[in-house]
Amino acid sequence: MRPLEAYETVMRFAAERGEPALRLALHAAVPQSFRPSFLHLLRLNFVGAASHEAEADVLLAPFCEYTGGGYYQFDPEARRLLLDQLDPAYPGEKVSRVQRVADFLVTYIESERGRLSADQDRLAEDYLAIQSWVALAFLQPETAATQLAAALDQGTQGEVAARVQFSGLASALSVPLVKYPKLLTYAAGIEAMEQGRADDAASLLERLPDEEIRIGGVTLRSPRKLLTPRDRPREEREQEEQRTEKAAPSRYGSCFISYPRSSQNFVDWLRPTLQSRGVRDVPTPGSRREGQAATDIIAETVRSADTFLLVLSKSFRSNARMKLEVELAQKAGRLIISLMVDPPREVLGSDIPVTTAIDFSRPENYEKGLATLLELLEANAGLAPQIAPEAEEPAQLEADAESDPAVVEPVIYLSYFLEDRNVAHRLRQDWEWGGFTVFEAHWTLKSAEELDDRFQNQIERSAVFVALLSRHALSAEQGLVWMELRHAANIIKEQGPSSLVILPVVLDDTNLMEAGLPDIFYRTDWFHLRSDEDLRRLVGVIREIVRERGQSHRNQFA
Amino acid sequence: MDPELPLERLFLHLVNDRGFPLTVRDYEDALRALALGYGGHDRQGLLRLLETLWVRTEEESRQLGLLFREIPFPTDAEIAAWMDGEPGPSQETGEDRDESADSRETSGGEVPVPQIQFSAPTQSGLGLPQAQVDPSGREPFILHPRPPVSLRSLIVTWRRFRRASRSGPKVELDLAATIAEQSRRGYLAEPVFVPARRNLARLVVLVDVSPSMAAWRSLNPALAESLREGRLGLAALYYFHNVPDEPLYQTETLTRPVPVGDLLEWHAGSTLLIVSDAGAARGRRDRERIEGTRQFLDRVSGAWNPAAWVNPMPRRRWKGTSAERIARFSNVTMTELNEDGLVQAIDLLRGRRSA
Repeated sequence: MRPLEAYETVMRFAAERGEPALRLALHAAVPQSFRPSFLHLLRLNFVGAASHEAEADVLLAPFCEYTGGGYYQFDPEARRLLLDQLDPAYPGEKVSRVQRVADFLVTYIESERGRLSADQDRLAEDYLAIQSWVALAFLQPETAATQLAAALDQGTQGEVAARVQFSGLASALSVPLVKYPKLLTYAAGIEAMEQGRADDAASLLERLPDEEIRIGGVTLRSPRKLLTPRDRPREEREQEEQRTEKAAPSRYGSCFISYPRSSQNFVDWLRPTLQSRGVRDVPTPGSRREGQAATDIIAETVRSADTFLLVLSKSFRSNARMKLEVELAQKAGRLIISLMVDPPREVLGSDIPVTTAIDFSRPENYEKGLATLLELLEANAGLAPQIAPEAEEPAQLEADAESDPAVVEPVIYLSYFLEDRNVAHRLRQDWEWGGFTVFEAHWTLKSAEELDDRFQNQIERSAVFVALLSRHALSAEQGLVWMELRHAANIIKEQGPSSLVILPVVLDDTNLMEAGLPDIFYRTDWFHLRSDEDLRRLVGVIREIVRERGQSHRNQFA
Repeated sequence: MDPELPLERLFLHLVNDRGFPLTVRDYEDALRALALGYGGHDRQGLLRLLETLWVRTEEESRQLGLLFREIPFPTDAEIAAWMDGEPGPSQETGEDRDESADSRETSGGEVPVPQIQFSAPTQSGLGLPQAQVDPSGREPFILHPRPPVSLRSLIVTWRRFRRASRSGPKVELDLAATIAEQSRRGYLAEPVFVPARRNLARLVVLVDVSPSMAAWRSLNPALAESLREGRLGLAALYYFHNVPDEPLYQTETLTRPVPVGDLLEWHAGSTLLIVSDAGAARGRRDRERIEGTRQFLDRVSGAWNPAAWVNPMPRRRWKGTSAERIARFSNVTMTELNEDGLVQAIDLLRGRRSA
């Protein structure tokens, strides 16, 4: 979210859900991410006036995202905004609220660690480790900065560098350690190096001056020195390792992991876990060579793996890059194993290409899921067919792959009668301000020839079809708007309810029951636009629909 | 003016302002303990004593702990005076701690470089660095969740659902009938036995585990355990996502699906309890959800009747959402998920309408 959007979203949340829910959200902004159980304890300890429903309100807030495995995270901008307001919301307290919540976080982590020791839940362990850093950084920023610097220093010495990770630490500490921008950039650069993102690492570390960085009693090596001498040998080492691996085939073969950004936590657990069991992980494609198409690189990488692991979340349907990777894997004849990080009911459907699926939606399933996965990998190792590279290029997907590395742009198709153009233009303005791409035939299309070709394509590409309906719909059932309405209805009919969300917005009190609209419009709830408040609500509704576009298979909204 | 008794103000504050359920006897116990030398010679010792004597719940412990952090009295000197002794060796431990911390930081001029531990690389080969957080000086916190209905209340509620009937083998002596038989015959050929009373109440519980119910997920284990302890004739628990529909699942993770048709056959003659927000948590009104729920209830009402629905969202939040419509269905009654709501739901399942 952009800062202004985050502000509006938080304000709207406060207006709709009330003060107790807002106060709970203020407290929940302290940890970098949280589980519902932590939110519950936060309420008991700090917001006694809030009832249980406030927990639901925070978990379902538009700035709160489910990141899989039972964890929730606030949008970074919204979190920053909420954190800024936490202490001012409790003036006159001897100890700052932020400090008290951080203190509670430490107690909670200790209690959870005691419980975890028996479970061996790696994801939860890492979560608690990161939250410990967050708590320390709020309680004692200087100490946290010194410890982080010491960790970076130790982690980048000798062979230890190959066995440590800093995943997510820099972003988790970006708020409490805001006074240490060099340290955070340094940490982010190391993270990028650890994750094999050499270009990102170089870009981050080169921003820093070529000199040692002193934090507390720790002196970090110059970032340039870290980058230059180490990076190349490391690349060479990796090539060497790959050569060795090819010479001695792994029992489990190799795998390519296709995943959405929202599942980064899960992949941060999965990737090293598989590596430790001897599974060769083919890294996600990095930068491409000049003249080489993005699809070529992905195709080449997918082909080089024995098995294709698809981290399947509810956002899969809106992720063009993953769809492309799946298509390439199918063309290359690779076994696709789906790892469901959201409940199966939410992710599966006839449009999901599942050969074999393993449920990783809950941490308690991890051990069993991993055992199943290893069995499948072992069974499939070495069975992958060899296909000539030129046989599998999906040229039609090239544009998507190049233009959109991860997320489909949320597109709203706005259909309206010309007489309602004033309302339409205002809505368009609001939505564009809110970060959506709005397409409308009246505005964008210039000629009748274009109409036939383009408005249909645009509706098909859209996430939401908004139809402004008024007394003008009672006129003859002809014209552009009627074509749009019928085409949207046809899409639903032919491709199923998951293909498009239809949102009829009624502008006046005309009885539209006899207007002869396509059936789907009568089977869908209507949004009545009567006031400025409704206008604001409508933006929220649209945002919610777009946000949950991949989550629901139904045509549902407020 | 009478001198103030030891702990008098604290006791009165706890009773009058904080609502601690204490009696004069509790106060006298504290005085007696102090007189006998318990409670140490300082604030920490006194806090531990009062926690032992006056605190019954985690919340009370937290309140007392916070109070001791906030108010400066009684001082260690006062406590020692009550006990006719000398102040203990550790006066103002907080200050001591701060000073020692300061001296650590300033001694030698050089800030020591911390040695960072990395998490065990046994499983993954990689390890996150571990922050070293000082565990001292924390306020007391509540660390145990409080579900909207406690396990005990759930069990008590299920046990309220009784349809007792004598069935099965005749194993219980019917004393009255035996005496009557002897009186009638003049001798007793054999005692009269009757089947034991058993609870024949049958209950199928369907729980929504969709994301909108995440805030109440902690209730699910308690629900499962309470049903096992509820002494019902039949207690079956299944899960669904958003709208009860085909199939239902045996696990919270929506694995092990079971066709509704099979369940209707296995659990014919049961009553039905649904736990779901019915769309109220998101504040939505979804025609498809309403219709899907209606169809499901129509389908099962022949075999599972009556049906009750407990909604964790308060009634005022049902307005304008799918829950409002579903609550109006003739074949289901919706109540709130709290102790009263559950009792009301069980009474409905028993065939009684409570107030």
